Amino acid sequence: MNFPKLLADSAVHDPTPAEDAARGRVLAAHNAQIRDRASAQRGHVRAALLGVLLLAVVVFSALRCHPQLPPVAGCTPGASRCHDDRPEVCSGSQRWEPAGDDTCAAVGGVCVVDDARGARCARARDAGIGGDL
Amino acid sequence: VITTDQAAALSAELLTSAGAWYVDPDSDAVRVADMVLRGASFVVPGVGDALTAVADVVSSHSVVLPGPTAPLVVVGAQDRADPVRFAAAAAGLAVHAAQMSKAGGVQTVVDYLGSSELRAVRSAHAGIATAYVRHLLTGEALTLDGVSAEVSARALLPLDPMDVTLARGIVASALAAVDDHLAPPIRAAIGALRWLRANAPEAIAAPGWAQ
Repeated sequence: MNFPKLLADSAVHDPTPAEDAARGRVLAAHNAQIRDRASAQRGHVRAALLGVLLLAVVVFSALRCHPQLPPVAGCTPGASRCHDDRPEVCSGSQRWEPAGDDTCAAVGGVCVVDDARGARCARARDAGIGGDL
Repeated sequence: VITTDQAAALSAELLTSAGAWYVDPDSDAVRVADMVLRGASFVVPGVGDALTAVADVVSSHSVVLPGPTAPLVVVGAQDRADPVRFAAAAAGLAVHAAQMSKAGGVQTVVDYLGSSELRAVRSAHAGIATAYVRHLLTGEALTLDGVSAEVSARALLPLDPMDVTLARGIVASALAAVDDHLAPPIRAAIGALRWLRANAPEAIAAPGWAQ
């Protein structure tokens, strides 16, 4: 469609009803094209924003939500120790992992380490003090 | 022998102490939710089938799920089949629920699914609590091989071989405490022993643990 030519032609003589109708149709089509283009652009902007948002969520999750392992201690895998009255076992990745979620005092014992059985909660009498659950 | 009512009361105590919300599969709320899920398969076949599959898993397995304000614990039909199994399963679930209450639902799921090592540690703690409560109620001997095998079998995802060794080390430490007549240093196990001594000492079958 030649929109400028149509406007120019309409300026040199009084338009007939048929010309008015034709010009109306052309204007409507032109406006529809502009609306479609604007709508497509808005769609692209929305898609881009959504993509950025999803990327941000993935990056945020990757940074914030990773497994919370204890620090690498360089211990010998399979070794055990007492730490803060809790038995701990050395993992294959050389981290100290707790052998329970409470202290030995909570069961009326104390944490002891011996060569035969490693770190464990033992009756307090073994460590020279009293206590029982 | 522990009764069904006692097992239910013990389970409720352990799960409440762990900050969890116990969902009774026989409650009206769960029945309505189940009906809605299964009914959805007639309305929206694709989505309904998936929801029905979820409903089947939840009704047959014992699970701890992240809830809006607290972990939701569902004890599956198999674990509700007898009182001993119910109480023992609740002790293991309480370990997972306590972890979820402490670290948050998302972090707990990330830890469990993202690290074989953390999965081994938590499965070991839960397995020890389960085995210890069963030992208290039946007198059944605890063995390192038996409990370690149960830990590996109960983990939802396989454990790396070196983490199977780690879990075995944790189990060995806990069983050494039990050999010395101490509860394992796991809150759910300690809570179960205290509750049983206070409320149902006659249900403790393992010699020497009733007082």
